Amino acid sequence: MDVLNYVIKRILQMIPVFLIATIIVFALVRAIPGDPARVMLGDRASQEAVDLLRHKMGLDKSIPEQFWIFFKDMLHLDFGTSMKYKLPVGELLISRLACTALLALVTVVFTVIISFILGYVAGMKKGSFIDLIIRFYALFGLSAPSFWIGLVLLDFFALKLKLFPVSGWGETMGQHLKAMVLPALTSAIYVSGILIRNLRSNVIDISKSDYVDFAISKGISPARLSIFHVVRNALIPATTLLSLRVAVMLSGSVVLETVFTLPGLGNLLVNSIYSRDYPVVQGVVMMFVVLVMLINLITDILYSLLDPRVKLQ
Amino acid sequence: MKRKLSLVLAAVMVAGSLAACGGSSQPAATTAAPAATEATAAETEAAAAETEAAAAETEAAAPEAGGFKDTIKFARPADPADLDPTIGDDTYSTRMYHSIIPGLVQVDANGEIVPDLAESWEVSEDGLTWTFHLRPGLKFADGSDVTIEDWQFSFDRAKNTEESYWKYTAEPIVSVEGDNETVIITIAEENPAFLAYLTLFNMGLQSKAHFDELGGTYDGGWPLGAGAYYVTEWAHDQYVALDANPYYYKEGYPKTPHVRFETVGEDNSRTMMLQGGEIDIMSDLPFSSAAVTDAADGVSVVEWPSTQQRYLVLNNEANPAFADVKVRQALMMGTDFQQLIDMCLYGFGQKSNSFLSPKQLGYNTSLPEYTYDVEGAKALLAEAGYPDGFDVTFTLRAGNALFEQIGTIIQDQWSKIGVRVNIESMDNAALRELQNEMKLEMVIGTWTDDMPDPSQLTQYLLDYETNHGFYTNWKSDACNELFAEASKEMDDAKRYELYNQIQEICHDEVALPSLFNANEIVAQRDALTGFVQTPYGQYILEDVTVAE
Repeated sequence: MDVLNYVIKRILQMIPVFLIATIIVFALVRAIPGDPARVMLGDRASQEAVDLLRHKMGLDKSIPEQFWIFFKDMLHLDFGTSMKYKLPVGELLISRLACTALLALVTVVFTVIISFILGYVAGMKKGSFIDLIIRFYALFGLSAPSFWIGLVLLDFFALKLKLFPVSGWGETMGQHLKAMVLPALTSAIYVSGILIRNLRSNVIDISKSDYVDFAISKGISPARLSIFHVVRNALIPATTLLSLRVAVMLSGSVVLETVFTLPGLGNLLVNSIYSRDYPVVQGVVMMFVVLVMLINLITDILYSLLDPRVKLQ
Repeated sequence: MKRKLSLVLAAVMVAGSLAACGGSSQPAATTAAPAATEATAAETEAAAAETEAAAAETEAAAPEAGGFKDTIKFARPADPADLDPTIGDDTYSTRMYHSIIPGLVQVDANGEIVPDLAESWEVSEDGLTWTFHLRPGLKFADGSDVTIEDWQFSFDRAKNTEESYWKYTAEPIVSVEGDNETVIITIAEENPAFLAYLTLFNMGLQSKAHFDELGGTYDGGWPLGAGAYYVTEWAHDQYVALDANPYYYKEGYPKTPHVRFETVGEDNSRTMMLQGGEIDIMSDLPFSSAAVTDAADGVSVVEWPSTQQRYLVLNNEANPAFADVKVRQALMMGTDFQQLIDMCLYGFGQKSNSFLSPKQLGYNTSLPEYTYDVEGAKALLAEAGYPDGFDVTFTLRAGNALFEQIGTIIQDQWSKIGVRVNIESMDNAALRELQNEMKLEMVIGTWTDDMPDPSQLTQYLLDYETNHGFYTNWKSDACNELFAEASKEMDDAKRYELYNQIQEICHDEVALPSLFNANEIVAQRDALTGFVQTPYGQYILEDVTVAE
C-alpha cells in the first residue's frame, strides 16, 4: 500500500515537469534556424513550392495555434506525422525503440557480468597484481573513445574472424541479438569502467566494516559472507549508477548507431534535427522525458528493496 | 517480506546473467554454419566457373544457374529523400529512379539519348508533334498493361505538381494522345531540348491504377513503374528493397533477382562492409581513401565520368566587394586551381573553365584558364579600391570533409593576396535558409546535370527570380537574351554557338566560377560486374551480376 501511494504521488509530481518539458521542446526545435519545407524540397526549389509545402505541413499557422495542435494531439497519444518519413511518429518511435532498448538490455547484461565480477575481485584482492590489471582495464574503458573501440572490435571480430556482421541489424530475433553483441560490448566496456571503480571501493569499505568483522567472528561461511553481506551492500550505490546509465542508453547513442549502422533512436533524432522534422524531434524528446522520469521512479523503488533503511515517502 | 524480495531480486539477476551466457554462446553456434557453407562454396567455385562459361553460351540463362548471388547489396550514406520522382531531387533518390520508373527514352553510359520504353520516335516537320512507338506488350511490374491513360497521368503529374522544381520540363506539353502502341505528344512550340527533357526522371511512366489504389498520394507508399526493378519495401534509414520486374520488356533482364540499397552513414563502416563481403558495391567513397580501398583484397575502385562540379558562390548582396568584377577576377588570379585539384581530388577530376561541365554538351572548349598570379591579383584588388584586401565569411556545410578541405585551401591561398577568409560551419538546414535569404557571403555550390542538355544549369544560373542567379545576386541581360534565343534554336551548331557566347560572358564576369569537375567513384567487389553509372548520375543495374 505504501509503495502504491508513493508511486501515485510521484506520478502526479511528474505532470508539471512534463508540461514544462513540452513547452521547452516545442520552442527549442523552432528556435534553431532552418525550414523543414526547404530542406525537403532541396536547393533548387522555388519560394512558391516551399510556401505550398509549408501550408501542407501546417507551418503557416501561428505558433500558439501550432502548439495547441501539438499539445492536444499528444494528450491523445498522437505525436503527428513525420514530415520526412511521412509515417506516424508513434510508429517510427516504436520501431526504433525496439533496437535501442535491446541494445540497452544486452549492454546491461554485459556490464553486470563484467563489472560485478571484476569489481568484486579487485576489491577483495586489493593491492594485488590482479587488482592492478582490473584497475587498468577500468581506466582504459573509461578513457578510450567508443567509436575507436567499436572500429577495433569490428575489424577483429567481424572482418578478420567473421563471427559477427559488420553492420546492420538483421531481420529475425537471432540476427538482432547477434548484431547487438559488438555494439553492446563496446558500450559495456565504457560503462563497466565506471561501475568497477565504484564497486571496488564499496567492497573495500564494506570488508573493513564492523558488521563484516562481527559476521566473521560468528563463524559464518565465506560464501554466505560475500553474497549476503559484502555483495548486497556494495550493490546499492552501483544500482543508482547503472540506472542512470540505462536512461542515457535508452536515449540512443549516435556514435554506436553510426559505427554499427543500427536503426536506433539516436540516429532518428539526429536525422530529424538535420531535416528539421519537428514532430519527430518533439516525439523523441518527449519519450526521453517520460523514460527518464520512469527510470528514476523505478530506481527509487529498487533502492528501497535493496536497502531496507531507505523508506519510500 | 522485504528481505525475501531482495533475495528474489538477486535470483533474477543471477538468472539474467545465466541467460546472458546462454545468449552469447548462441551466436558462436550459428556462425559455425556459415563457416561450413563457405568451405563448400570454395569447392563449388570451380564448378561455378565451368557453369558460368556454359551460361555465357546460352546467354539468357536464369541468373541463379551460374553461381551468382541473388541479391545486389549497394550501400550509400543516406536514404532516398523521396521515392516519388516528381518530387525527389537529391542524388540518393534520383540515381535509382531509372531502374524503377523509366520513361520513353534514357541516357546510356556515354551520355547519349537511346530508346527505353519507346523503341523509336519521329518528329513532325514543324517540330511540334512527337510520335513515340512503344515496345510491344509493355507491362507494369504488377503485370497490368501500360495504357495511354498512364502516360497521360504521368505527364500530367510532372506538369501540374506545384512543389516540383522540374515541372518546367513538362510545361511545353499541350496534349498526350495515342493508344497501347504509340504515344503522341504535342508541344506548344519548337524546343531543341525536349528529347533531353524526356530522359529526366520526373517524366518516367507511373501506374495510374496504383496511384489511385493508394488513395491519390504516395505518402506511405511509392510509385509503380515498368522498370527493371520495382520497390517492395522501404525500411527508413535502413534499406530500400527492390525485386526484379518479371514483366520487364528486355528478355532475360535484369540479371539479378533482388537489389538492396543499404543506408550506412559511416564511411569507414561502409568500406569495412565491402571488404568483409557484406555489401557488393558502395557509393560516396571519399577521394582521400580511394587508394587504400582499391589496394584491399577483392575490392576495386571504379571511376565514372560525371557532370558534377563544385563552385564558389560569391554573393555580392551580402559582401559588396564581390559586386566589382575586378575583385572577382583578382580572386580567380589569386586561386591556384591546380593545387586545389591535386589536394582535393587525388586525380579523380579535372579543371573546368566554365560553369558548364566539360562532360556536358555545348561546353565551351576555347575559354582561357584563369592564370595564377599573386602580384597581378594584388594590383587588380588595389585598382578596385581594396589595396589592403577585405574580409570574407566562407560558410561551409558542417561534416563535409571535402568542403572543409576546400575551405582551408582557399583561406590559405587568398591570404597571400590580402583577402582574409573567415570559415564558419553550419548544418545543412540552417545554411539553406540563410542562403535563401541571401545572407551568406560565400558558400560552395554543387551541381550535377541530370540530362544531356546545357539548358538545365544555364536556366538555373540565369533565373534571377527564383534563386537570385544561383544565390550570387548576379544577372546579365545579355545572357538572358542569348539564352532565350538558344532555347528556340533548332540547329545544334548554332545553338551551341549561343551557349559558347553565354559561357564567355559568364567567364569574363566570373559569374559562377567552378573549382573543378569531379568524377564519380564507386567501390565494388571484384565479383560484381555490369554496373554502369551515366555522366548524369543514373545507375543502370539490369546487367549487374555478383559471382558467388
